[in-house]
Amino acid sequence: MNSSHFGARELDRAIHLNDQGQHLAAIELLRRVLSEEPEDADAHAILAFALVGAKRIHAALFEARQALLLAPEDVLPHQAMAWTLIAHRRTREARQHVEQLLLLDPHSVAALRTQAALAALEHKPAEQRQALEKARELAPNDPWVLSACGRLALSLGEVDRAWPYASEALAAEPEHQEALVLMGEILLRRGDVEDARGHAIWALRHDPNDSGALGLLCSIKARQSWTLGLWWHWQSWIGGGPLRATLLLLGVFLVYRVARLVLGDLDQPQAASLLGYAWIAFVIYSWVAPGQFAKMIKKEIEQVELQPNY
Amino acid sequence: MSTARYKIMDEPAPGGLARLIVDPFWPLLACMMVGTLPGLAWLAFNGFALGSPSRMRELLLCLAGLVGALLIYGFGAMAIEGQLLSAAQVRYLMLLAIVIKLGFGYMACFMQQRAMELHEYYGGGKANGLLILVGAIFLPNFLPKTVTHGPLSWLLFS
Repeated sequence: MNSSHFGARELDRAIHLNDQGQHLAAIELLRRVLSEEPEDADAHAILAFALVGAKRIHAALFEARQALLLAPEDVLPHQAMAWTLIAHRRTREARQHVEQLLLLDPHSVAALRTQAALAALEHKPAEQRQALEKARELAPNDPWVLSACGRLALSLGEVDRAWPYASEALAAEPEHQEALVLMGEILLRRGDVEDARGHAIWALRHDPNDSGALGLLCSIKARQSWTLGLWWHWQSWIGGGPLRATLLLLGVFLVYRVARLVLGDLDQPQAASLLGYAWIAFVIYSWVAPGQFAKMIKKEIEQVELQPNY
Repeated sequence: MSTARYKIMDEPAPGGLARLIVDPFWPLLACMMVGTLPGLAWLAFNGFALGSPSRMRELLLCLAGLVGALLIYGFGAMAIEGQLLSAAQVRYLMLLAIVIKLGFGYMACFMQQRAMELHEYYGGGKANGLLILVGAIFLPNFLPKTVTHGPLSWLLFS
């Protein structure tokens, strides 16, 4: 079942909020729509997008499935499912939905953007470039497409090629969240830390929870203090999902404990003690550093003036 | 037409035990500093108090950690008794028990953390886990020796 007139108006607003990076506001709006019309396939699909944006990917999968059950032949549920599966890194299943999307609407910019996102995840830059070029022919001033082109260039290390895409995207929509973050990242790569910070702050005015803008701000702050920066890099390294984090943390712990036992067996008490002190220092550092880093970021965010309509 | 508030499937639904909710980090720390059984039991209980949507999976993870550690401890004891391994070699084996209990504990903790973040986002409160943890650390001093030095003491306090 698709949206009523009331629902359609609310859904347009939810899409707008999502585009602005205000995923949490979109989620609440869609909750209201679904409380009234629980079988609205479009609302479930847009909610899946918002949940992916808010990094709640398990709930997003449930919502995308609901949308597909209600409207298996519609474009939006397939698109929502493809984005959700991309967020889950389930590329094979995502590919099926992208193919279905392109069959249903081969000239859809959204479908081509989805294809490009999947190709990026699969490390297929040629396919990514091809999909984005097609999308650019259809919508030359679409800030999402321009930002995606810029991100592709940046991922290939072509900082100078990424710049004009970000500039064009911001010219088309000066407050575009993704374009602001992209421009910030380009500026940071060029060493212009202050301007990069300005772009991160500008993006955070729209949504102080935006993960891209927060990530950019954290990268900037990590450059300003190497002691806390070390923690940020460690955190980024282990932050590839709970399973990866668990395995890495346990791996580090196991290496430490085995090394201590081996040093004890080799009759090296001094080395074992040194290792023990190093471990204690690591534990204290990993206890203190996150708090200090969060304080630094919080101080910065507190100075951000939110947009009046946030 | 339904007017019930639409519930998104990853949102917690705390019940009557809501005032006992703590940050899952504290039960995990209890796992390290107090013992396998109290730490994992507290972590599983916290999932139910929180009304975490993944509470059954968290419970299963905690049980798996407990059973895994139990098997390693049991095997270690038998290996020493049957002179299959020396006491020095069993020390290495015991590391596996620690890794198993912490591994499953970490996984359950990360899983619960998602529900906890949403609980706090929607204004839900939490108790101070530090006080409970400190109490649990000193608890063995007040227990009879039959418990602290009994056959299951390693499971309770290691």
